[in-house]
Amino acid sequence: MTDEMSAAELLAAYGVAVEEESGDEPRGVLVVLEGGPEGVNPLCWSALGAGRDVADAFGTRVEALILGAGEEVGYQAIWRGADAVVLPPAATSFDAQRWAEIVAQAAGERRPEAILMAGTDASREVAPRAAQRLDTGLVMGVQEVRPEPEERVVIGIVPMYGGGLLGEYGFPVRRPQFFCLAEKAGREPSEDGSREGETIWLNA
Amino acid sequence: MEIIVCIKQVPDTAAEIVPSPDGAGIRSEGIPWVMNPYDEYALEEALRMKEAHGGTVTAICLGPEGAEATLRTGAAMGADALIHLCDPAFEGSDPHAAAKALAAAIKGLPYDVIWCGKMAVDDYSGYVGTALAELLALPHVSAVVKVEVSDGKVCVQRETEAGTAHLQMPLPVVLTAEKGLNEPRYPKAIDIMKAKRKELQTKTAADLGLGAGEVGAAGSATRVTKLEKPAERGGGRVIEAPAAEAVQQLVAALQQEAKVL
Repeated sequence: MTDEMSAAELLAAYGVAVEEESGDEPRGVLVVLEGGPEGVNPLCWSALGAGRDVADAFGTRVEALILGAGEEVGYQAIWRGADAVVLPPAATSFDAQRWAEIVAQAAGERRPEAILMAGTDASREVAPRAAQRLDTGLVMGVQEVRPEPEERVVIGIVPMYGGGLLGEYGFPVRRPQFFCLAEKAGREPSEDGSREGETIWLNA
Repeated sequence: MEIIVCIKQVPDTAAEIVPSPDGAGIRSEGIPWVMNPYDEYALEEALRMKEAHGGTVTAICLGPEGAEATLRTGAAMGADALIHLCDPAFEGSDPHAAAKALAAAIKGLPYDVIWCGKMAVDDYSGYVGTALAELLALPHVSAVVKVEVSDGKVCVQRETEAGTAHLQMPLPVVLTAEKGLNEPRYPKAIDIMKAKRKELQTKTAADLGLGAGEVGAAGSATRVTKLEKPAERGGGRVIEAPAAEAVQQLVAALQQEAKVL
């Protein structure tokens, strides 16, 4: 070991894989979770499971943006696989335009390479608005996401033409890659009460 | 009341759709094309609004030359004005780019209500209606099952995971039609004949002030990279064992093979 070794080289010498990041490219996966008085909408968990799998394939992390609830439900996301929870300055009950604004703000501040939302009634109202704000597009009704780590792309598989064909959708250039998932498109992540993560507040 | 309806031409849902040789599209030869069924509900509701409150219904369609036939169907149903966004520059537009083109066309028109179908039955995307609302800075409600207009406000119902939601908002507004909103009318033969001669405006990307990079494949964020038939499902399996043992085997299969438990 020498003083010239970078932190990454040092960690690599100890067998710790470190992702080389330029700082300019979007990195990480943002999963949007809908919260409420009773906690996170259970339909959102499979999106977190899918997000965890994409992040693991890319060697990056998952951040869970919580809409409609505050820090009190953050532990649920951490226990189920998020590395961090992202919270707006104030929780707001469902309002499509406000929630889209928050998703766009989170994408701007956290700069994820992919965003996943569960295909709930709320997300179908919010995701297209957020995608327009980000000028990134959106693939809806995704029944499976397939990460391709070498290209750092996510392929969304969508039933088309009455289910007679399956289409594979990708984002050739624009980032973040934005997917709205069908129910049970991802695995349901199990809870691990020993997991820890950080809380990130969006700018007021 | 000024009402705009966005309609899309899609393959007939009864047609057999086959991927094109490059695997990124479909073979279009011989396919019967129809108005997207959800857009039929939207157009029917727009016509009922006009019949109740007066005004005009303008149908807008983004698509190739052949999509004119779908606009003519709209005219036969009762649309007063037809606008066809038709230009090679629009080819390959994904829903993101299509919404931009439609918004650009609508910006120059008067409107109180903009109707779209909840989704298109070809790509199963429900993006355009909500994206239009964002681009035009309007409120919207998706998947509407009932609607009433009075005193400059719209009262709508939509079905949600939690039950029926009742919403009220001021005009103008974007609404998307759910199946069952109404029973679309069949055009009469005489109206089909009249629709063939109805004036139709054709607009290009340049007419809408859109540059080459804003619409079409160049303006699209997403791309279909592969299109294929889903793997055929395997046949069923009969578990032959005494009842208690069969239940155990069934539960094990559901947990370990199907992974649904």
